[in-house]
Formats: sequence, C-alpha cells, structure tokens
Amino acid sequence: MTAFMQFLKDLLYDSGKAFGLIYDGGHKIWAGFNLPPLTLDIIFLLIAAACAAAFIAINALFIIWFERKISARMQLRRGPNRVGIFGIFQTVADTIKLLIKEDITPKAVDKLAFFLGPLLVMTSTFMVFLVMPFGKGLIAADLNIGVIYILAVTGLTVLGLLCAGWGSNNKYSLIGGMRSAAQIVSYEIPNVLVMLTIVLLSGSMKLGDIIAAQPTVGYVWMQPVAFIIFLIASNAEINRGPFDLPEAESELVSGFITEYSGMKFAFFFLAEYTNLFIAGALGAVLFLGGWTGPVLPPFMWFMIKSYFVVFLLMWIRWTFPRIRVDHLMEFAWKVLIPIALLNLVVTAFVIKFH
Amino acid sequence: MEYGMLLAFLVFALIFVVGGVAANWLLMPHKPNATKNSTYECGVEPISDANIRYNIRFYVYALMYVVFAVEAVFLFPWAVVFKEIPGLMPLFEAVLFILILVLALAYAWKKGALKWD
Repeated sequence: MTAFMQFLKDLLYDSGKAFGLIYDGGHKIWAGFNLPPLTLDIIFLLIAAACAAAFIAINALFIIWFERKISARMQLRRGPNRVGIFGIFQTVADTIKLLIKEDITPKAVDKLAFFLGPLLVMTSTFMVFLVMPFGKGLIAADLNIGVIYILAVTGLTVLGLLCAGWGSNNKYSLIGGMRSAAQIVSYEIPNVLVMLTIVLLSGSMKLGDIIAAQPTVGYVWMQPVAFIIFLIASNAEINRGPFDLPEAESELVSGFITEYSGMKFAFFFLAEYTNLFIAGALGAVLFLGGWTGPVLPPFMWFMIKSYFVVFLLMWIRWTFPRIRVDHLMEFAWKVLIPIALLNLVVTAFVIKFH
Repeated sequence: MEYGMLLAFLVFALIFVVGGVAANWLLMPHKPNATKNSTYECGVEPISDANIRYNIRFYVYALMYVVFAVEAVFLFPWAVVFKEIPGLMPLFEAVLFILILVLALAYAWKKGALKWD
C-alpha cells in the first residue's frame, strides 16, 4: 500500500521516476508475452503524443474562455455566462458548432495550398509540445537542442500563413498573409536574441537544464530588459493586439483566414490560442523558473506561471489600441533588435568579468 | 527514443488536422452554390485574379531576416560553451562578430531598407 502511495506521490511530484517505473514494468509484462520490445516503445510514443493532443484541445478550450472573460471584464461586460457554470462550456459549444458547419472551398483557390495552410500552422504548433517541460520528468523528449528546436518549428508557421494567404486567391488574404509573414520574421529576431541571452546565462539549450540553472527567483530579475523584449516580441509573433495588423478587421476583413470556414478556420483559431499558451509557457520556462516552486506539484506551478504570463499578454492586448504598420515594422528593427543585441553583449561582459 | 518521439508527434499532428477536417467533412451539409463559392470581396464582384504583384519591401525584410537568423545559428553554439572556455578570447570574437552585424544593420538603416513606406 505504501509503495502505491509513494508511486502516486511520485506521479505528482517526480513524474520522471513514476514514468520510468511504468516503462520498466510495461516492458517486463511485454517480454512475458514474448512480443518485440520495439512495438511497446511505439505504443508509449503514441500515448505521449495523444496526451499532448488532449492537452492542446482542453487547454485551448480553457484559454479561449479565459480570454473572453478577461476581455469582458476589462470592458465592463460579463462575457460568456450561459453555457455551463460561468459559461465555461461556451468554447465546447462553439467547437461543436464549427465541426458541423459547411467547409466552403471557393472555386478560385489553389486547393493544395489552401489545405496546407492550416495543416502547417497546426503541425508546427503541435510539435513545440515535444520539448515543453510540464513538470519534473513530465516532458516528451528533453532534446539537447531544445531552444533551437522551438525556434525552428515555430518558424514553420510562417510557411503555413504564406500558403493560406497565397492559396486563398483573395486580395485580403494575400495582404494579410504577407503582412503577418513580414511581422513574424521581424519579431522573431529580437526573440532569438533574447533566447540567446538566456542560453548564455544557463550554458545549455536543453529546457530542463535552463530551468535547473535558474536561481529560485528566475532569470527575470537578472534580465528584466530581456523579459520586456520577450513579451513585446512574442505578442507580435502570435499576431495579437496591439500588433494584430495581419487581421486588422477594419482594413483586411480577417487577413489570411478570410476564406476559411468550418474546421480549417477552427484549426487557425486553435493554433493561435495554443501559440498564446506556448508564449506564456516559454516565458515561464525561460524567465520564471519553469515548474520549480514550493509545496504545490511541479505541474501546477508550471500552469500558474504560464497563465500568469498569458494574463500579461492578454492585459497588453486589451489595453492598447492597434498601432500603424510602418511603426510596427520599424519598431522591431530600429528599437528592439539594437536593444536586444546590446543586452546580449552586456550580459556576455558581465558573465566574463563577474 | 527522443527522435522517435519527434516522429510520433509529427504523425500525430498530421492525423489531428486531417482527422479534424475529415470529421468536419462527414458532419457538414454539402450545399455549394455559385455565389457561396465565389471569392469574398466585401460583396462586390471580384475583380481579376488575386495572385498579383506585391510590394518589394516584403522581400527586403525577408533578406534581413535571413542574415540575422544565420547569425543566431552561429551564435547559439558560442553561447552554450561561453562559460566553459577560459580567457577573454570568446568574448572578443563574439563582440567583433556582432559589431560586423551591427555595421550591416546600420548600412541597411542608412540605405532606407528598414523604412516601411
């Protein structure tokens, strides 16, 4: 009995150990049936991927409700409050509605690119969860190139947006897609430089090592400038206000998603909100110490910190008016990148002479 | 195992999207008509194809992005081993490298490549 309690405790506080037990036990039973061990490995891999998919779906349902509630409160409204208690099932109802809506494919579209758009955007978003450290040992694969992997995979989003914009064969979509590609690549640079600074401090690209290298208060106190740049750049990278030029309703209808409907539209929406969560989670991992914290299980700490950063991003979105496109692009290149480069060099000097 | 996991995630992501679209296809009504399938242009008749020429400035920004992305690829290995190498050599080399980049950025700025007009 105590062994079982210990196992449950491990599952909460030291998931890596518990998963190791499950893995070894599974292999023992599997060997008893005389089956090749590789098949069991593949089953474990698929279970992990399925867990990530379930997490993305549930988390998106919650985060969309959260954003609607926050925005409502900031505008002195009530927000969704009909479906379920506090309207928490509103997004479930919306998803079911989108699932049974007609998926219109206009005649003029390039069919392949039109389908590749949501596919690439959603795939790249999904792939980031491979290296997301949800808790102690609660990580699909702690790649030793973690940070570069995240940058590489999120870079794929741009291709999806370009496919969607070009494939829609609609002028609004084209302009929206080009604008958002230009915006994402511009704001990716400050983000990369910020991550470079963090890697410089921790001496590793592995997200697990970055968390372990942080002091208890996190890197945010050592790198306040980097944290602010990170917030601005990730807000722009996920196309959210005040940088939501690509889908500026008043001029571009809704940018690259103008022609999409049904489930393809839903995937763009899902990717957008999952990217919001990823930005929050990266902020938590790189600056706030990830899953470390007293008393509560690591997973809870990870979610609390991530949602704290997500709340900051939402606060920014619902407070500032949309800025002009020329200001947006020049701000990235003429302000953020020089500051980020300077921050990098100063950090390098401080590390060497400290 | 780690890269097998990567493959599993990739396969699962593709299944996730294709499955979602397929489920949508099964559940949705199929009632196309000419107006519904025309390109949306705020209610007016669409004028010509949308695959038109667009501004060159997007290309200039993309080029600048490539420069800085490659720079980041070179700097990441440096950042990882920075603490382990004693002496000031890694510091000065990187500062020199970044200075050259800053020169390039300043040149592009001077030439007006960063201007969005």
